[in-house]
Amino acid sequence: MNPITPPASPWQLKVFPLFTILGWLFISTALIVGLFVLTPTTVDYLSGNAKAVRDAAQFGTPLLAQLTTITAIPRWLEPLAFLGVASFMVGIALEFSSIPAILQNRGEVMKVCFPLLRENGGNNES
Amino acid sequence: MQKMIGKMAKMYPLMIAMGFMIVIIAFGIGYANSQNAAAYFSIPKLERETTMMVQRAAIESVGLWMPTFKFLGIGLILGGIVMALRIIIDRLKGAGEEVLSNLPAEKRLKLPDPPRYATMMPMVIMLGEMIFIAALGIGIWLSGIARMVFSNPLPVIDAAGSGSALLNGIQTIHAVEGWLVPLKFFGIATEFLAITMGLATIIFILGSQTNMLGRILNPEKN
Repeated sequence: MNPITPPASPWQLKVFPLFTILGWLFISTALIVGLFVLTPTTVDYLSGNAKAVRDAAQFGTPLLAQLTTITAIPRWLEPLAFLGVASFMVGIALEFSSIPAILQNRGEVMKVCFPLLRENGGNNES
Repeated sequence: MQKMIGKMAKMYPLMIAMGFMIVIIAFGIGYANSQNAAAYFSIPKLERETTMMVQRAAIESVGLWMPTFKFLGIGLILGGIVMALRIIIDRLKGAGEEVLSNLPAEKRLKLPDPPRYATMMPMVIMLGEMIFIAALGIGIWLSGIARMVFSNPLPVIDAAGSGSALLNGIQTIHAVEGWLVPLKFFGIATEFLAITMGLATIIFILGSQTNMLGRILNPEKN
């Protein structure tokens, strides 16, 4: 019996898809908010309103509410996109960190296999 | 098709070098733009807003296309990394086949087919690059609008009324910026997804080759 054990699935391989999905989720949310909240609000705020009208907007008016939206949202939207990028990078780092264990196991397997491969080898000259 | 992609992947150093050059050029243009801005804002407000329209138009337009240009550079570097991963995948497969070729034909097992995401990797990387190129195109278009708008004195821009070309221009710039920033990150996400797929493929190949060697050594477990 050869002392071969298959490579154990490291915990990192179970966790990295979660971070990849989180990354997609954050960045897709940022894109959707940009497309369907920021853009229409900006169009409404600027269309047909000269600067004098915008500047004269009083408390509680739709114009001021729109201004609040288009100045407040980008302040968390970009950090959210960066959070998405960070999630992707954590996922990639987890994938990388699982490779050493797999290579170590492969080295042990190769050590056991080598004599057998030499023993059976008929076409080493190729 | 896969062989052709494998051959193209060997050009990854060129892609990384191109991406790095783009980021360096962007830094140079950004520095020049900062000097332009420093000169512009060192002039009193009334004078700079009514006489220095060329400088203002240049500052605003560079600020619109430059970020998309930098992201294209980063995208090319990430694309180069994905192509390098593809070469590792091809070499690993080649090494596995070579090891197996040492066994007699009756003992030789068929290498498992690569997972579906491995074949999707080139498409995902191309999609990412297309997003960056589209974002750069949109950035250049916006910078043209900015040049048109800011070639007017600021008091004229401020007085622009409903339906005027100036107000429409400002509206277009701000409205498009709302989704252009997340779109660039979407491009980065696409490239990262390709890297994730490449690494997952490498892990799959390493694992399956080791499993195969185990099956050859312990045929009763097949």
